Amino acid sequence: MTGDSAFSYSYRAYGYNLKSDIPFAQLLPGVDPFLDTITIRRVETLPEAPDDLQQIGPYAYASANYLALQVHELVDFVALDGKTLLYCPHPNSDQASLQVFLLGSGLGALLMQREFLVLHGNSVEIDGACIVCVGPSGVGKSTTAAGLMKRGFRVLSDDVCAVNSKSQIVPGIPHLKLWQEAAEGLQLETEGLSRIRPELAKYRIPMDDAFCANPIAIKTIYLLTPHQSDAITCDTITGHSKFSALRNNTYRLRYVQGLGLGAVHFRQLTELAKTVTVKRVQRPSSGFHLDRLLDVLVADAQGQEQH
Amino acid sequence: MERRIVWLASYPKSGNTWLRIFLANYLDSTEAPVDVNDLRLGNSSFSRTIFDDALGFDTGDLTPEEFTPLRPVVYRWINNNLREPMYAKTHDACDQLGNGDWLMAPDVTDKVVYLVRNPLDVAVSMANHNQSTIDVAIKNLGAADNVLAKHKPTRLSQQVPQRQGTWSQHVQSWVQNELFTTCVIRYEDMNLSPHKTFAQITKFLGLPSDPHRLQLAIRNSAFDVLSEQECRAGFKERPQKTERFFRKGKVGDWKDVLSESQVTKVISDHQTVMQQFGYVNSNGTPLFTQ
Repeated sequence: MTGDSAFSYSYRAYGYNLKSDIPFAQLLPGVDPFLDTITIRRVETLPEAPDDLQQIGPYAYASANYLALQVHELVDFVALDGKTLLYCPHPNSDQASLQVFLLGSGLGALLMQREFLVLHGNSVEIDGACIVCVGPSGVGKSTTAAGLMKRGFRVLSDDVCAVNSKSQIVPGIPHLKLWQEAAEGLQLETEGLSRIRPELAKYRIPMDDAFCANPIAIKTIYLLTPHQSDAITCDTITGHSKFSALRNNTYRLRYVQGLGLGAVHFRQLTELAKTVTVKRVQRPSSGFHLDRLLDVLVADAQGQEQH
Repeated sequence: MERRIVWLASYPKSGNTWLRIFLANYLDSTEAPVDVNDLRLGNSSFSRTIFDDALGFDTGDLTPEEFTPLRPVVYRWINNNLREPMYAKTHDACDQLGNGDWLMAPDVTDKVVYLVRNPLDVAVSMANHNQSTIDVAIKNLGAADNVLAKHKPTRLSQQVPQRQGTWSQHVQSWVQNELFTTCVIRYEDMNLSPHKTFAQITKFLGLPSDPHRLQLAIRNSAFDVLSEQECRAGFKERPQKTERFFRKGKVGDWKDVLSESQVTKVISDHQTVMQQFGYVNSNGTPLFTQ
Protein backbone atom coordinates (compact mmCIF):
# COMPACT_ATOMS: atom_id res chain seq x y z
CA MET A 1 0.00 0.00 0.00
CA THR A 2 1.41 3.44 -0.82
CA GLY A 3 0.58 7.10 -0.60
CA ASP A 4 -3.10 7.80 -0.08
CA SER A 5 -4.44 4.24 -0.05
CA ALA A 6 -7.67 3.62 1.82
CA PHE A 7 -7.41 2.77 5.51
CA SER A 8 -8.87 -0.66 5.94
CA TYR A 9 -8.54 -0.95 9.70
CA SER A 10 -10.22 1.06 12.44
CA TYR A 11 -9.46 0.96 16.14
CA ARG A 12 -9.78 3.01 19.31
CA ALA A 13 -7.08 3.81 21.86
CA TYR A 14 -6.23 6.62 24.29
CA GLY A 15 -9.52 8.38 23.51
CA TYR A 16 -8.96 8.49 19.75
CA ASN A 17 -9.97 6.61 16.68
CA LEU A 18 -6.97 5.03 14.99
CA LYS A 19 -7.22 4.43 11.27
CA SER A 20 -4.47 2.28 9.87
CA ASP A 21 -3.41 0.68 6.64
CA ILE A 22 -2.20 -2.44 8.48
CA PRO A 23 -4.04 -4.58 11.00
CA PHE A 24 -3.19 -4.30 14.69
CA ALA A 25 -4.60 -7.32 16.51
CA GLN A 26 -3.68 -5.80 19.85
CA LEU A 27 -5.92 -2.74 19.46
CA LEU A 28 -9.60 -2.38 20.34
CA PRO A 29 -11.53 -2.46 17.06
CA GLY A 30 -14.28 -0.03 16.14
CA VAL A 31 -15.01 3.61 15.46
CA ASP A 32 -16.46 6.19 17.82
CA PRO A 33 -17.98 9.12 15.88
CA PHE A 34 -17.35 11.48 18.81
CA LEU A 35 -13.59 10.96 18.86
CA ASP A 36 -10.82 12.63 16.90
CA THR A 37 -8.89 10.44 14.53
CA ILE A 38 -5.21 9.51 14.33
CA THR A 39 -4.04 7.92 11.10
CA ILE A 40 -1.21 5.45 10.68
CA ARG A 41 -0.02 4.95 7.14
CA ARG A 42 2.90 3.72 5.20
CA VAL A 43 4.76 6.04 2.83
CA GLU A 44 7.56 5.45 0.36
CA THR A 45 9.45 8.49 1.56
CA LEU A 46 9.01 10.43 4.75
CA PRO A 47 7.91 14.07 4.58
CA GLU A 48 10.50 16.80 4.27
CA ALA A 49 11.88 17.92 7.60
CA PRO A 50 11.10 21.41 8.89
CA ASP A 51 13.90 24.01 8.79
CA ASP A 52 14.28 24.15 12.54
CA LEU A 53 14.68 20.40 12.98
CA GLN A 54 17.01 19.46 15.84
CA GLN A 55 18.77 16.18 16.34
CA ILE A 56 17.75 14.93 19.77
CA GLY A 57 19.35 11.49 19.68
CA PRO A 58 21.54 9.35 17.44
CA TYR A 59 18.51 8.51 15.32
CA ALA A 60 15.90 10.97 16.55
CA TYR A 61 15.01 14.41 15.26
CA ALA A 62 12.34 16.84 16.33
CA SER A 63 10.83 20.25 16.08
CA ALA A 64 7.42 21.55 17.14
CA ASN A 65 4.82 18.94 16.21
CA TYR A 66 7.31 16.83 14.26
CA LEU A 67 9.21 13.86 15.59
CA ALA A 68 11.23 11.51 13.43
CA LEU A 69 12.79 8.28 14.67
CA GLN A 70 14.81 5.61 12.91
CA VAL A 71 14.63 2.27 14.63
CA HIS A 72 17.68 0.28 13.66
CA GLU A 73 16.94 -0.99 10.16
CA LEU A 74 13.40 -1.92 11.11
CA VAL A 75 11.29 1.16 10.54
CA ASP A 76 11.58 4.92 10.20
CA PHE A 77 8.62 6.99 11.20
CA VAL A 78 7.46 10.56 11.63
CA ALA A 79 4.82 11.63 14.16
CA LEU A 80 3.10 14.79 12.96
CA ASP A 81 0.85 17.22 14.81
CA GLY A 82 -0.55 14.56 17.10
CA LYS A 83 -2.64 13.36 14.17
CA THR A 84 -0.55 11.32 11.79
CA LEU A 85 2.03 8.60 12.05
CA LEU A 86 3.82 8.04 8.77
CA TYR A 87 6.07 5.02 8.60
CA CYS A 88 8.54 3.61 6.16
CA PRO A 89 9.50 0.00 6.86
CA HIS A 90 12.95 -1.28 6.00
CA PRO A 91 13.12 -4.24 3.61
CA ASN A 92 12.56 -7.58 5.33
CA SER A 93 11.13 -6.08 8.52
CA ASP A 94 8.16 -8.10 9.70
CA GLN A 95 4.84 -6.55 10.63
CA ALA A 96 5.00 -7.50 14.31
CA SER A 97 8.33 -5.73 14.68
CA LEU A 98 6.99 -2.58 13.02
CA GLN A 99 4.04 -2.50 15.35
CA VAL A 100 6.09 -2.63 18.54
CA PHE A 101 7.73 0.66 17.70
CA LEU A 102 4.77 2.34 16.03
CA LEU A 103 2.51 1.76 19.03
CA GLY A 104 5.26 2.53 21.53
CA SER A 105 7.52 5.42 20.59
CA GLY A 106 5.29 6.45 17.66
CA LEU A 107 1.99 6.64 19.46
CA GLY A 108 3.74 8.02 22.53
CA ALA A 109 5.07 10.92 20.46
CA LEU A 110 1.61 11.66 19.06
CA LEU A 111 0.13 11.72 22.55
CA MET A 112 2.83 14.14 23.68
CA GLN A 113 2.06 16.34 20.70
CA ARG A 114 -1.54 16.36 21.89
CA GLU A 115 -0.20 17.57 25.23
CA PHE A 116 -0.82 14.53 27.32
CA LEU A 117 1.73 13.94 30.03
CA VAL A 118 2.95 10.49 29.06
CA LEU A 119 4.50 8.31 31.78
CA HIS A 120 6.56 5.16 31.28
CA GLY A 121 4.61 2.72 33.34
CA ASN A 122 1.51 0.61 33.81
CA SER A 123 -1.81 1.76 35.21
CA VAL A 124 -4.30 -0.33 37.15
CA GLU A 125 -7.65 0.50 38.73
CA ILE A 126 -7.94 -0.32 42.42
CA ASP A 127 -11.19 0.53 44.23
CA GLY A 128 -12.21 3.17 41.73
CA ALA A 129 -8.89 4.97 41.66
CA CYS A 130 -5.87 4.47 39.45
CA ILE A 131 -2.38 3.48 40.49
CA VAL A 132 0.56 3.78 38.12
CA CYS A 133 3.71 1.70 38.50
CA VAL A 134 6.74 3.39 36.95
CA GLY A 135 10.41 2.51 36.80
CA PRO A 136 13.20 1.59 34.41
CA SER A 137 12.87 -1.09 31.74
CA GLY A 138 13.19 -4.54 33.25
CA VAL A 139 12.15 -3.57 36.78
CA GLY A 140 8.86 -5.48 36.53
CA LYS A 141 6.14 -2.97 35.69
CA SER A 142 4.25 -5.18 33.24
CA THR A 143 4.73 -8.21 35.48
CA THR A 144 3.21 -6.25 38.35
CA ALA A 145 0.26 -5.16 36.22
CA ALA A 146 -0.27 -8.75 35.06
CA GLY A 147 -0.17 -9.94 38.66
CA LEU A 148 -2.77 -7.37 39.66
CA MET A 149 -4.87 -8.40 36.67
CA LYS A 150 -4.77 -11.99 37.88
CA ARG A 151 -6.04 -10.79 41.25
CA GLY A 152 -9.08 -9.32 39.57
CA PHE A 153 -8.08 -5.68 39.08
CA ARG A 154 -8.61 -3.93 35.77
CA VAL A 155 -5.73 -2.52 33.74
CA LEU A 156 -5.86 0.74 31.79
CA SER A 157 -2.54 0.78 29.99
CA ASP A 158 0.78 -0.96 29.63
CA ASP A 159 4.04 0.91 29.01
CA VAL A 160 2.58 4.12 27.57
CA CYS A 161 0.46 5.84 30.24
CA ALA A 162 -1.29 8.99 29.01
CA VAL A 163 -2.35 11.46 31.70
CA ASN A 164 -4.95 14.06 30.74
CA SER A 165 -5.45 17.55 32.18
CA LYS A 166 -7.67 16.13 34.93
CA SER A 167 -4.85 13.86 36.17
CA GLN A 168 -6.73 10.88 34.81
CA ILE A 169 -5.13 7.98 33.00
CA VAL A 170 -6.85 7.43 29.68
CA PRO A 171 -7.34 3.80 28.62
CA GLY A 172 -4.72 2.62 26.15
CA ILE A 173 -4.19 -0.71 24.44
CA PRO A 174 -5.93 -3.78 25.91
CA HIS A 175 -2.86 -6.01 25.91
CA LEU A 176 0.09 -6.47 28.27
CA LYS A 177 3.53 -7.30 26.93
CA LEU A 178 5.11 -9.98 29.07
CA TRP A 179 8.35 -11.92 28.87
CA GLN A 180 8.20 -15.71 28.98
CA GLU A 181 9.77 -15.99 32.42
CA ALA A 182 7.38 -13.47 33.91
CA ALA A 183 4.42 -15.24 32.34
CA GLU A 184 5.64 -18.57 33.76
CA GLY A 185 6.02 -17.03 37.19
CA LEU A 186 2.43 -15.90 36.95
CA GLN A 187 1.29 -19.25 35.55
CA LEU A 188 -0.04 -17.52 32.47
CA GLU A 189 -0.16 -19.68 29.37
CA THR A 190 1.73 -18.29 26.37
CA GLU A 191 0.89 -21.12 23.97
CA GLY A 192 -0.99 -19.64 21.04
CA LEU A 193 -0.21 -16.05 21.93
CA SER A 194 1.50 -13.66 19.54
CA ARG A 195 5.11 -12.73 20.10
CA ILE A 196 5.85 -9.04 19.90
CA ARG A 197 8.88 -9.93 17.81
CA PRO A 198 9.60 -13.32 16.26
CA GLU A 199 13.03 -13.70 17.90
CA LEU A 200 11.98 -12.74 21.41
CA ALA A 201 9.88 -14.78 23.85
CA LYS A 202 7.83 -11.72 24.81
CA TYR A 203 4.11 -12.09 24.34
CA ARG A 204 0.97 -10.02 23.98
CA ILE A 205 -1.34 -11.04 26.79
CA PRO A 206 -4.92 -9.95 26.11
CA MET A 207 -6.65 -8.14 28.96
CA ASP A 208 -10.15 -9.03 27.66
CA ASP A 209 -12.64 -8.18 30.43
CA ALA A 210 -9.82 -6.95 32.62
CA PHE A 211 -9.35 -3.92 30.39
CA CYS A 212 -10.69 -0.77 31.97
CA ALA A 213 -12.14 1.33 29.15
CA ASN A 214 -12.84 4.49 31.18
CA PRO A 215 -10.46 7.25 32.26
CA ILE A 216 -9.69 6.99 35.97
CA ALA A 217 -8.08 9.60 38.21
CA ILE A 218 -4.61 8.73 39.51
CA LYS A 219 -4.34 8.33 43.24
CA THR A 220 -0.81 7.00 43.70
CA ILE A 221 2.25 6.52 41.53
CA TYR A 222 4.58 3.77 42.70
CA LEU A 223 8.22 3.99 41.70
CA LEU A 224 9.51 0.42 41.55
CA THR A 225 13.15 0.18 42.59
CA PRO A 226 15.32 -2.88 43.17
CA HIS A 227 17.40 -3.11 46.34
CA GLN A 228 19.57 -5.66 48.03
CA SER A 229 17.34 -6.48 50.96
CA ASP A 230 14.71 -9.20 51.05
CA ALA A 231 12.21 -6.73 52.43
CA ILE A 232 9.63 -4.87 50.36
CA THR A 233 9.31 -1.30 51.52
CA CYS A 234 6.93 1.48 50.55
CA ASP A 235 7.77 5.08 51.43
CA THR A 236 6.22 8.36 50.39
CA ILE A 237 8.39 10.71 48.37
CA THR A 238 7.82 14.44 48.69
CA GLY A 239 9.19 17.75 47.51
CA HIS A 240 11.91 17.88 44.93
CA SER A 241 12.37 14.10 44.96
CA LYS A 242 8.71 13.68 44.09
CA PHE A 243 8.99 16.08 41.17
CA SER A 244 12.17 14.37 39.97
CA ALA A 245 10.55 10.96 40.15
CA LEU A 246 7.68 12.13 37.95
CA ARG A 247 10.03 13.86 35.55
CA ASN A 248 12.48 10.97 35.29
CA ASN A 249 9.68 8.52 34.61
CA THR A 250 8.22 10.50 31.76
CA TYR A 251 7.99 8.38 28.63
CA ARG A 252 10.75 9.29 26.16
CA LEU A 253 11.76 12.39 28.10
CA ARG A 254 14.16 13.52 25.36
CA TYR A 255 11.24 13.95 22.98
CA VAL A 256 9.76 16.62 25.26
CA GLN A 257 12.39 19.31 24.72
CA GLY A 258 12.74 18.46 21.04
CA LEU A 259 9.01 19.00 20.54
CA GLY A 260 9.23 22.37 22.28
CA LEU A 261 7.10 21.09 25.14
CA GLY A 262 9.47 21.84 28.01
CA ALA A 263 7.28 24.50 29.62
CA VAL A 264 4.11 22.48 29.07
CA HIS A 265 5.78 19.43 30.59
CA PHE A 266 6.95 21.39 33.63
CA ARG A 267 3.42 22.65 34.20
CA GLN A 268 1.99 19.14 33.78
CA LEU A 269 4.43 17.71 36.30
CA THR A 270 3.71 20.49 38.76
CA GLU A 271 -0.04 19.96 38.48
CA LEU A 272 0.28 16.22 38.78
CA ALA A 273 2.54 16.51 41.81
CA LYS A 274 -0.20 18.48 43.55
CA THR A 275 -2.85 15.85 43.05
CA VAL A 276 -1.15 12.47 43.38
CA THR A 277 0.93 10.69 45.98
CA VAL A 278 4.24 9.24 44.86
CA LYS A 279 5.80 6.34 46.73
CA ARG A 280 9.07 4.50 46.32
CA VAL A 281 8.57 0.75 46.48
CA GLN A 282 11.79 -1.13 46.95
CA ARG A 283 11.78 -4.79 46.15
CA PRO A 284 14.52 -7.47 46.23
CA SER A 285 16.81 -7.21 43.22
CA SER A 286 16.90 -10.96 42.74
CA GLY A 287 14.31 -13.67 43.03
CA PHE A 288 10.64 -13.62 42.11
CA HIS A 289 8.73 -11.95 44.93
CA LEU A 290 5.70 -10.84 43.04
CA ASP A 291 3.04 -11.98 45.51
CA ARG A 292 4.63 -10.07 48.35
CA LEU A 293 5.03 -7.01 46.14
CA LEU A 294 1.40 -7.17 45.07
CA ASP A 295 0.29 -7.55 48.70
CA VAL A 296 2.16 -4.36 49.59
CA LEU A 297 0.79 -2.41 46.61
CA VAL A 298 -2.80 -3.49 47.09
CA ALA A 299 -2.75 -2.91 50.82
CA ASP A 300 -1.27 0.51 50.35
CA ALA A 301 -3.61 1.46 47.52
CA GLN A 302 -6.65 0.36 49.48
CA GLY A 303 -5.64 1.63 52.87
CA GLN A 304 -4.18 5.07 52.45
CA GLU A 305 -5.87 8.41 53.07
CA GLN A 306 -6.59 10.66 50.07
CA HIS A 307 -3.66 12.99 49.33
CA MET B 1 35.72 16.44 17.86
CA GLU B 2 36.89 16.47 21.45
CA ARG B 3 37.20 13.02 23.00
CA ARG B 4 35.93 13.10 26.55
CA ILE B 5 35.15 9.50 27.49
CA VAL B 6 37.57 7.79 29.87
CA TRP B 7 36.98 4.07 30.23
CA LEU B 8 37.86 2.47 33.54
CA ALA B 9 38.13 -1.02 32.16
CA SER B 10 38.77 -4.34 33.82
CA TYR B 11 37.74 -7.93 34.07
CA PRO B 12 35.33 -8.17 37.04
CA LYS B 13 36.75 -8.25 40.59
CA SER B 14 39.99 -6.57 39.56
CA GLY B 15 39.75 -3.32 41.48
CA ASN B 16 37.43 -1.27 39.27
CA THR B 17 35.25 -0.14 42.17
CA TRP B 18 38.29 0.83 44.21
CA LEU B 19 39.64 2.88 41.31
CA ARG B 20 36.31 4.65 40.87
CA ILE B 21 36.11 5.43 44.57
CA PHE B 22 39.68 6.74 44.54
CA LEU B 23 38.92 8.94 41.54
CA ALA B 24 35.71 10.21 43.06
CA ASN B 25 37.63 11.19 46.16
CA TYR B 26 40.47 12.77 44.15
CA LEU B 27 38.07 14.81 42.06
CA ASP B 28 36.01 15.89 45.07
CA SER B 29 39.03 16.59 47.28
CA THR B 30 36.97 16.71 50.44
CA GLU B 31 38.38 15.85 53.84
CA ALA B 32 35.60 13.38 54.48
CA PRO B 33 35.41 10.29 52.28
CA VAL B 34 32.96 10.38 49.40
CA ASP B 35 29.83 8.31 50.05
CA VAL B 36 30.40 5.02 48.19
CA ASN B 37 26.68 4.91 47.42
CA ASP B 38 26.84 8.30 45.72
CA LEU B 39 29.95 8.10 43.59
CA ARG B 40 28.81 10.16 40.61
CA LEU B 41 31.28 8.34 38.44
CA GLY B 42 28.82 6.76 36.11
CA ASN B 43 28.00 3.28 35.04
CA SER B 44 27.10 4.52 31.62
CA SER B 45 28.69 1.75 29.65
CA PHE B 46 26.14 -0.95 30.45
CA SER B 47 22.94 0.40 31.98
CA ARG B 48 20.04 -0.33 29.63
CA THR B 49 18.32 2.91 30.62
CA ILE B 50 21.17 4.94 29.13
CA PHE B 51 20.67 3.30 25.74
CA ASP B 52 16.87 3.48 25.84
CA ASP B 53 17.01 7.17 26.73
CA ALA B 54 19.56 8.05 24.07
CA LEU B 55 17.96 6.06 21.26
CA GLY B 56 14.34 6.94 22.03
CA PHE B 57 13.05 3.39 21.90
CA ASP B 58 13.19 0.25 24.05
CA THR B 59 16.40 -1.64 23.36
CA GLY B 60 14.86 -4.60 25.16
CA ASP B 61 12.71 -5.05 22.05
CA LEU B 62 15.81 -5.62 19.93
CA THR B 63 17.82 -8.80 19.52
CA PRO B 64 21.49 -8.68 20.63
CA GLU B 65 22.54 -8.69 16.96
CA GLU B 66 20.44 -5.59 16.40
CA PHE B 67 21.37 -3.85 19.63
CA THR B 68 25.14 -4.35 19.97
CA PRO B 69 26.12 -2.25 16.91
CA LEU B 70 24.17 0.63 18.46
CA ARG B 71 26.31 0.77 21.58
CA PRO B 72 29.26 2.68 20.05
CA VAL B 73 26.74 4.91 18.29
CA VAL B 74 25.27 5.83 21.67
CA TYR B 75 28.73 6.40 23.15
CA ARG B 76 29.46 8.80 20.31
CA TRP B 77 26.19 10.61 20.94
CA ILE B 78 26.98 10.85 24.65
CA ASN B 79 30.46 12.16 23.89
CA ASN B 80 29.05 14.85 21.60
CA ASN B 81 27.05 16.17 24.51
CA LEU B 82 29.84 16.11 27.09
CA ARG B 83 31.55 19.29 28.24
CA GLU B 84 33.99 17.60 30.60
CA PRO B 85 35.53 14.13 30.93
CA MET B 86 33.18 11.28 31.65
CA TYR B 87 34.70 8.40 33.62
CA ALA B 88 32.78 5.21 32.96
CA LYS B 89 33.25 1.67 34.18
CA THR B 90 33.30 -1.19 31.74
CA HIS B 91 33.77 -4.94 32.06
CA ASP B 92 33.37 -5.49 28.33
CA ALA B 93 36.20 -7.07 26.37
CA CYS B 94 37.45 -4.62 23.80
CA ASP B 95 35.66 -6.16 20.87
CA GLN B 96 35.46 -5.35 17.22
CA LEU B 97 31.95 -5.85 15.90
CA GLY B 98 30.83 -7.67 12.83
CA ASN B 99 30.32 -4.41 10.96
CA GLY B 100 33.94 -3.39 11.61
CA ASP B 101 33.10 -0.82 14.27
CA TRP B 102 34.67 -1.07 17.71
CA LEU B 103 32.30 -1.62 20.62
CA MET B 104 33.98 0.90 22.90
CA ALA B 105 34.23 3.68 20.30
CA PRO B 106 37.94 4.61 20.29
CA ASP B 107 37.16 7.68 18.18
CA VAL B 108 35.44 9.30 21.16
CA THR B 109 37.60 7.76 23.88
CA ASP B 110 40.22 10.02 25.38
CA LYS B 111 41.96 7.47 27.57
CA VAL B 112 41.63 4.05 29.14
CA VAL B 113 42.81 2.91 32.54
CA TYR B 114 42.89 -0.88 32.36
CA LEU B 115 43.21 -2.76 35.63
CA VAL B 116 44.65 -6.25 35.72
CA ARG B 117 44.66 -8.55 38.76
CA ASN B 118 46.16 -11.97 39.37
CA PRO B 119 43.49 -14.40 38.12
CA LEU B 120 44.25 -16.64 41.09
CA ASP B 121 42.89 -13.89 43.34
CA VAL B 122 40.17 -12.97 40.84
CA ALA B 123 38.86 -16.55 41.08
CA VAL B 124 38.55 -16.29 44.88
CA SER B 125 36.85 -12.93 44.69
CA MET B 126 34.49 -13.99 41.89
CA ALA B 127 33.40 -17.08 43.79
CA ASN B 128 32.42 -14.89 46.75
CA HIS B 129 30.77 -12.25 44.59
CA ASN B 130 28.65 -14.76 42.70
CA GLN B 131 28.28 -17.13 45.64
CA SER B 132 29.57 -19.94 43.44
CA THR B 133 32.25 -22.54 44.00
CA ILE B 134 35.88 -21.78 43.21
CA ASP B 135 35.76 -24.38 40.45
CA VAL B 136 32.86 -22.60 38.76
CA ALA B 137 34.71 -19.30 39.04
CA ILE B 138 37.84 -20.83 37.50
CA LYS B 139 35.77 -22.37 34.73
CA ASN B 140 34.22 -18.97 33.95
CA LEU B 141 37.67 -17.36 33.87
CA GLY B 142 38.56 -19.80 31.13
CA ALA B 143 35.30 -19.63 29.18
CA ALA B 144 35.51 -17.90 25.83
CA ASP B 145 31.74 -17.43 25.80
CA ASN B 146 31.60 -15.78 29.22
CA VAL B 147 29.12 -12.89 29.19
CA LEU B 148 27.83 -10.69 32.02
CA ALA B 149 24.05 -10.20 31.94
CA LYS B 150 23.88 -12.68 29.10
CA HIS B 151 20.93 -12.17 26.78
CA LYS B 152 18.03 -14.52 27.27
CA PRO B 153 15.14 -14.32 24.83
CA THR B 154 12.73 -15.02 27.71
CA ARG B 155 13.48 -12.07 29.98
CA LEU B 156 14.90 -8.56 30.15
CA SER B 157 17.94 -7.50 32.16
CA GLN B 158 18.51 -3.93 33.33
CA GLN B 159 22.12 -4.34 32.28
CA VAL B 160 23.00 -4.94 28.66
CA PRO B 161 25.05 -8.07 27.84
CA GLN B 162 28.79 -7.52 28.33
CA ARG B 163 30.99 -10.08 26.60
CA GLN B 164 34.18 -10.83 28.46
CA GLY B 165 35.74 -13.86 26.87
CA THR B 166 38.37 -15.62 28.95
CA TRP B 167 40.38 -13.62 31.46
CA SER B 168 43.38 -13.81 29.12
CA GLN B 169 41.36 -12.71 26.11
CA HIS B 170 39.87 -9.84 28.07
CA VAL B 171 43.26 -8.55 29.16
CA GLN B 172 44.81 -8.88 25.74
CA SER B 173 41.84 -7.29 23.99
CA TRP B 174 42.50 -4.08 25.86
CA VAL B 175 46.26 -3.99 26.37
CA GLN B 176 47.07 -4.89 22.78
CA ASN B 177 44.62 -2.47 21.17
CA GLU B 178 46.57 0.44 19.75
CA LEU B 179 43.45 2.39 18.88
CA PHE B 180 43.16 3.39 22.54
CA THR B 181 45.57 5.31 24.74
CA THR B 182 45.77 2.92 27.66
CA CYS B 183 47.49 2.90 31.02
CA VAL B 184 47.67 -0.63 32.40
CA ILE B 185 47.74 -0.85 36.18
CA ARG B 186 48.05 -3.93 38.34
CA TYR B 187 45.69 -4.26 41.30
CA GLU B 188 48.63 -5.56 43.30
CA ASP B 189 50.55 -2.32 42.74
CA MET B 190 47.54 -0.26 43.86
CA ASN B 191 47.59 -2.33 47.03
CA LEU B 192 51.31 -2.54 47.71
CA SER B 193 52.57 0.79 46.29
CA PRO B 194 49.51 3.05 46.46
CA HIS B 195 51.24 6.42 46.29
CA LYS B 196 53.34 5.60 43.29
CA THR B 197 50.50 3.78 41.50
CA PHE B 198 47.69 6.24 42.09
CA ALA B 199 50.03 9.11 41.23
CA GLN B 200 50.74 7.35 37.97
CA ILE B 201 47.01 7.13 37.30
CA THR B 202 46.28 10.78 38.07
CA LYS B 203 49.22 11.88 35.95
CA PHE B 204 48.05 9.72 33.06
CA LEU B 205 44.57 11.19 33.32
CA GLY B 206 45.99 14.69 33.23
CA LEU B 207 44.60 15.60 36.63
CA PRO B 208 46.35 18.32 38.63
CA SER B 209 49.21 16.93 40.65
CA ASP B 210 48.77 17.58 44.36
CA PRO B 211 50.46 15.42 47.00
CA HIS B 212 48.00 16.39 49.74
CA ARG B 213 45.04 15.66 47.49
CA LEU B 214 46.59 12.32 46.53
CA GLN B 215 47.24 11.38 50.15
CA LEU B 216 43.68 12.30 51.08
CA ALA B 217 42.10 10.34 48.24
CA ILE B 218 44.21 7.27 48.99
CA ARG B 219 43.25 7.44 52.64
CA ASN B 220 39.57 8.00 51.88
CA SER B 221 39.44 5.05 49.51
CA ALA B 222 41.39 2.66 51.71
CA PHE B 223 39.91 -0.75 52.33
CA ASP B 224 39.11 -0.15 56.01
CA VAL B 225 37.23 3.04 55.15
CA LEU B 226 35.18 1.33 52.44
CA SER B 227 34.49 -1.63 54.66
CA GLU B 228 33.28 0.63 57.45
CA GLN B 229 31.00 2.52 55.07
CA GLU B 230 29.51 -0.75 53.85
CA CYS B 231 28.99 -1.97 57.41
CA ARG B 232 27.22 1.24 58.30
CA ALA B 233 25.09 1.92 55.25
CA GLY B 234 25.44 -0.98 52.84
CA PHE B 235 26.86 -0.81 49.32
CA LYS B 236 24.39 -0.67 46.48
CA GLU B 237 26.65 -2.53 44.06
CA ARG B 238 26.80 -5.60 46.28
CA PRO B 239 24.83 -8.50 44.79
CA GLN B 240 21.92 -9.38 47.03
CA LYS B 241 23.13 -12.89 47.84
CA THR B 242 26.69 -11.76 48.72
CA GLU B 243 27.31 -10.89 52.31
CA ARG B 244 30.02 -8.29 51.83
CA PHE B 245 31.34 -6.52 48.73
CA PHE B 246 34.45 -5.11 50.45
CA ARG B 247 35.49 -8.50 51.72
CA LYS B 248 39.24 -8.68 52.25
CA GLY B 249 41.07 -6.39 49.83
CA LYS B 250 44.09 -8.62 50.04
CA VAL B 251 46.79 -9.59 47.60
CA GLY B 252 47.59 -13.29 47.51
CA ASP B 253 44.49 -14.53 49.30
CA TRP B 254 44.49 -17.38 46.81
CA LYS B 255 47.33 -19.02 48.66
CA ASP B 256 45.01 -19.74 51.58
CA VAL B 257 42.00 -20.67 49.52
CA LEU B 258 42.87 -22.46 46.29
CA SER B 259 43.89 -26.10 46.12
CA GLU B 260 46.99 -27.12 44.22
CA SER B 261 44.93 -28.50 41.36
CA GLN B 262 42.93 -25.27 41.17
CA VAL B 263 46.13 -23.23 40.99
CA THR B 264 47.47 -25.53 38.30
CA LYS B 265 44.27 -25.16 36.31
CA VAL B 266 44.31 -21.37 36.37
CA ILE B 267 47.96 -21.21 35.38
CA SER B 268 47.44 -23.76 32.67
CA ASP B 269 44.61 -21.66 31.23
CA HIS B 270 46.33 -18.28 31.50
CA GLN B 271 50.09 -18.71 31.77
CA THR B 272 51.09 -16.45 28.90
CA VAL B 273 49.26 -13.40 30.17
CA MET B 274 50.04 -14.19 33.78
CA GLN B 275 53.70 -14.24 32.90
CA GLN B 276 53.39 -10.97 30.99
CA PHE B 277 52.14 -9.27 34.15
CA GLY B 278 54.53 -10.93 36.56
CA TYR B 279 52.11 -13.36 38.17
CA VAL B 280 54.12 -16.42 37.19
CA ASN B 281 57.67 -16.90 35.98
CA SER B 282 58.63 -18.55 32.72
CA ASN B 283 58.25 -21.95 34.37
CA GLY B 284 54.70 -21.21 35.37
CA THR B 285 55.55 -20.87 39.04
CA PRO B 286 53.46 -18.26 40.89
CA LEU B 287 55.46 -15.14 41.81
CA PHE B 288 53.13 -13.36 44.23
CA THR B 289 53.14 -15.36 47.37
CA GLN B 290 51.84 -12.97 50.01
